[in-house]
Amino acid sequence: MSTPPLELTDLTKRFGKKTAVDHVSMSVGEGEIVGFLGPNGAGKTSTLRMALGILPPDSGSAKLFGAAPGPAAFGRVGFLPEERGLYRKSTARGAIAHMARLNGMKGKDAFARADEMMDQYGIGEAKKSKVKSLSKGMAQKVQLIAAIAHDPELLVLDEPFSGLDPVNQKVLEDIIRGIAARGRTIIFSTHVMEHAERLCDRIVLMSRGAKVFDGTVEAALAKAGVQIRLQTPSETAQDWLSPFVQDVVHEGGGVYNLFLKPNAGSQQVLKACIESGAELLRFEPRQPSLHDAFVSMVGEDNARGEEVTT
Amino acid sequence: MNLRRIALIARRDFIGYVRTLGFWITVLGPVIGIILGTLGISIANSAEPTRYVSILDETGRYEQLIIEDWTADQKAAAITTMTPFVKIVSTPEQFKIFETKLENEGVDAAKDYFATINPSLAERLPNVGSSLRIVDIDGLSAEDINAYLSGDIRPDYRGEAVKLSGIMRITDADDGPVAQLYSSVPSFNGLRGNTNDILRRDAEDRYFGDTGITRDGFWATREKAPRATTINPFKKATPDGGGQTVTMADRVPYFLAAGLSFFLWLTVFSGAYMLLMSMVEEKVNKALEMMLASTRFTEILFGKLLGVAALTVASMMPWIIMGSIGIFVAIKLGDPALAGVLAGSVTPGMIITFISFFILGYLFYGSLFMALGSLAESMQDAQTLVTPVLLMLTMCLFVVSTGISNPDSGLIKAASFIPVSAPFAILMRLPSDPPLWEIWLSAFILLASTVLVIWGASKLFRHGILSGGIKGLKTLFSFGRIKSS
Repeated sequence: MSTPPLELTDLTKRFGKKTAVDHVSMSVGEGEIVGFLGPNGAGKTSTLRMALGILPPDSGSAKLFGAAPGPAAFGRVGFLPEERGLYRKSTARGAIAHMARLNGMKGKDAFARADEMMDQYGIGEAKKSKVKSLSKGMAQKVQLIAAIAHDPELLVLDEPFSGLDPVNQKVLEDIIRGIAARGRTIIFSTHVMEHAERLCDRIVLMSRGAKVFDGTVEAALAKAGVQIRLQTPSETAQDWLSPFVQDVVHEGGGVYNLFLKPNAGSQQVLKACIESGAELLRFEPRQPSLHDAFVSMVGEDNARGEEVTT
Repeated sequence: MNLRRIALIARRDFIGYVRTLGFWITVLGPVIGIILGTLGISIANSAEPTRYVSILDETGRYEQLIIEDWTADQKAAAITTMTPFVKIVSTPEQFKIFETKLENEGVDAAKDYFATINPSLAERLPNVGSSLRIVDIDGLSAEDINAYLSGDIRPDYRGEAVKLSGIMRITDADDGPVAQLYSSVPSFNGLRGNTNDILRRDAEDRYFGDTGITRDGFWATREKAPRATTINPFKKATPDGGGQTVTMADRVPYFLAAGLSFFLWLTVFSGAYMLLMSMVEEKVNKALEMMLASTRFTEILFGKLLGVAALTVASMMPWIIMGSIGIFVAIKLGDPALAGVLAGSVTPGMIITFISFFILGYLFYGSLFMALGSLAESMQDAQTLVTPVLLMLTMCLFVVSTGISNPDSGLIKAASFIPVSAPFAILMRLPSDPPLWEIWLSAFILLASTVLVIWGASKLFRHGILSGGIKGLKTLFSFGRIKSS
């Protein structure tokens, strides 16, 4: 079995009295796309910084390609930090080439790669533009290219979709799929679950610094249980529904949002409804989203997140 | 540490700033200043109108003396302004001929001679001609003064009818001559300076009267009065019994040390400030975190230090060039012995000490400023943080000024063992040959402090660029809790 590109063991980080990352362990295998999910302040950025050796952990360890983060991994990792930034007075191709050269590419090759990738990602006309004159979307593309120009084996993206409009989010998704198609390993953090649902082989859910789930998207969704939107004038509805639901929200007008217990199915609810003789005006089973899964795992309050100062 | 990455970071910082307008304003500032200053003086001179003045000497004793005094002033001005220029661009033989012509035949003849040996430069000779012209008017009387000054009567000056700006009238009164300059132009001084000189001399002559003392004799006696000299008994005596007298040349090494010390101070000040600004800019740019995935903290730190050091030297280049020209001119124009003294002052030991303390001093202050810059999120933050360090650096200027007059004072000696002032103090002490062990001890203390500051700076730098603002100051007191990479 090959050495995983990223392996975290029992990582913990505290800032003052606040525990930002609490005993987090995980591993990212070669060629995987892993979504690192959680609300703001869940500890995602701190974990990624520790994984790259930018932030020292208070306890636990991080390994990149089987060794402690450091010079051995330089050039094999691409990193897009959450807080975007490039040298404002540099040209776009200059900024990309500079990062590529720091990651080991030769000067001429770095500039050639910068030009090639800017053309490939549709911003070829901005090669000689100063970074400060680029639109936000373009600047983010430039920074992403700067992170991947040296063709890293492991790509770490911290909130890559934040600040992008829907069109550019779609473009970025395609870029990530393209990189993954070349067999590269990708881990990206986001608090928008939809991106992870569409892109990831595996997701890791964080809440208040701790890992609450690590598995496939399907496994996460299974934790959420089925939801049904049901409408009936029956005044005894709550009585005959109660054996199957773990939570019910009555919207008024006989409309109920049902969150079924993990072992309950929509067919059982439908059967109970028919047996009770109640009139059924609406019956809409709904597949849960990752957000629902996350809420079911950590509760509504925790899912809203908590800002952690890092 | 990877030298290639350090060089790349240094190169980016250097080129990134060299391509800005601010850098070229800094670099060319002194040159532009000199050009504008010269141009301004030239324009002011050429814009000054030619003014005409006449002398109405009713005593009959002073007119010729005033004209001679004015002519002598013109010649002296020519010597002051033209001579250094001609001396620099001519051979010693040519200059001697030029000087003789100036002395015996006047300014125009000297200028003509220079034009024959160097026609292209002759056109650029500084213009020393005064815009004042003395007009000789036969039969000028006090009644005509208003008519001349109003322009109703225009006297002839070399075939041209001109309007007088003033008339210097000298009359006799009971207690001596009285001079009055008649002019409708309040700012016009005409021949007042020369007239005052002549009347002063006349007053001195009258005072000495028949005592047998002459004015020239009196002043010559004053000039020849003996003066106390300083003797350095440890200085090598010459066969004629002299050589131990302390001269200006003996002080040259001290001035040179002060010059180098001040240059170091200026470099540290501007370099450290550039580092501070660069750090604040990068904090705002948020570019550093991305680099940290492929670069060590220490590589970024040293890369920036190196890049800004190159920038500082580049921005100091005009001063270095102008300083070199100044030394060349001083040697060429000054006492020939000066060249020997200067050459004797610049010993290999001094050069090695200067370079070593220059590097250590720069690293010490540069690291300090970088660390503080990494904690700041805006220039306001940065100014708050660096104020104590700037005050410390300003205090070091006193070391330089005190060192010129008292290089062996206790203050300078103590300052050479305090890291913040050591680079400046040790240079000031060099001309007085301090014991070698003191230089080594000073270097060791500075080196150890620099290592400590770089270590602390890398911790602060690491913390500062990942966290925000002055709140990171708490980190200053918790070095031990920040693990190194």
